[in-house]
Amino acid sequence: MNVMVVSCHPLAESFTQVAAAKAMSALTKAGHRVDHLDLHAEGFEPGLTAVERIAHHADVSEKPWIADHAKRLQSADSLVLVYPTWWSGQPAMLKGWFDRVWTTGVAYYLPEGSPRIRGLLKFKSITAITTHGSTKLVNMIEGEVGKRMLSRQIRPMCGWRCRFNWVALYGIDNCSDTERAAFLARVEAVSARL
Amino acid sequence: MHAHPVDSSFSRALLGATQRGLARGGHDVVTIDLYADGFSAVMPPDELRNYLSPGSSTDPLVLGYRTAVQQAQGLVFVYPTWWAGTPAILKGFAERVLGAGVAFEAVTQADGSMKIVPALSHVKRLVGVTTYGSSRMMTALTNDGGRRILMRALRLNCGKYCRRIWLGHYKLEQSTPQSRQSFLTKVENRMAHL
Repeated sequence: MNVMVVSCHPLAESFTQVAAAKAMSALTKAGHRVDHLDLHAEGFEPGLTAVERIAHHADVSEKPWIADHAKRLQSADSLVLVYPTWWSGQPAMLKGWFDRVWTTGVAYYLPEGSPRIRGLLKFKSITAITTHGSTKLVNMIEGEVGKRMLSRQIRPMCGWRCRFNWVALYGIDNCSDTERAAFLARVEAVSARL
Repeated sequence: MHAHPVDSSFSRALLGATQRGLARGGHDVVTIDLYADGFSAVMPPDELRNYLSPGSSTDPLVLGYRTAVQQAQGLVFVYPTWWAGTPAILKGFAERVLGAGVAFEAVTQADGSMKIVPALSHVKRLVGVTTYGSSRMMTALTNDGGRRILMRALRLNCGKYCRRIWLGHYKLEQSTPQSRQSFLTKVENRMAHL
């Protein structure tokens, strides 16, 4: 299976990157082909520009700036996202990747006369691997923005059989080494049986 | 705070209505137009390394924004809802500007654990003005991430008496000139009576 791993953290020495490396080694070991996209290392620009906003509903062929990412997305069988949760949601970098790359013709289309968009991607699963500074309770009060965006907004664009895996560490500000190790073990286990 | 790349957008018109309404209500308005200012939503590595110290950023734009936020009694966000959330540039504003020393203080407690203490007690009004492609019901089902972040996650960092106001135009794709005009009028009138 071809798995696209999108990781997003500005620091190479971060725990997020450790988790991403863990996930990728488990995926490779399980015999999957990994296509790694490191948004910060690539210098991705998350801000959707005026030109892109105007061309948003145009055909993919008229949007050369996302051609590479769109092709990689379309040839993937599963998607793995590794990121830190900031302000209850995905970092701006990752949100910008959805804003810019997941456009009409890539992720969805709007049927003539229909008020609702339909998905175009076909994934077996979407897996989110993320860390939260705050506790699970605080996140629930805040409305679990990151989790619900992926499970309720992004997943329906990726085929009706697409599963959603949520691998999250809460309260990383005050967590012990044991909890971190347990989280990494979960990352490995989930990746291995993807 | 405004976040839309296109000058002729409806979002820009909403910013105008917001400004007119606030001026009519006798408020002093400082406008932060993130796209026009050329704000970068990407968290620089050094800024994240020093995230918990007040002098984390050296970006003059960020420092100026922080001062503006610290002097504000009300925060108004005007943006289009994309993928059930704020545009990446506005998410980046939350991450880079509303950090330690501005939105909250990270206090180390006696047992060595860290506690987040709200620091936006001077903010008495939190306002969101936004547009949605989907209907009110679809937005409720998929979780309104932008609204959750601004009205809950950010609200947790404001004072006890902070009030929240949310104004949204749903189904923008099916909107008519009348529906847009009436929404503009509604926004202007509401802003005049904060």
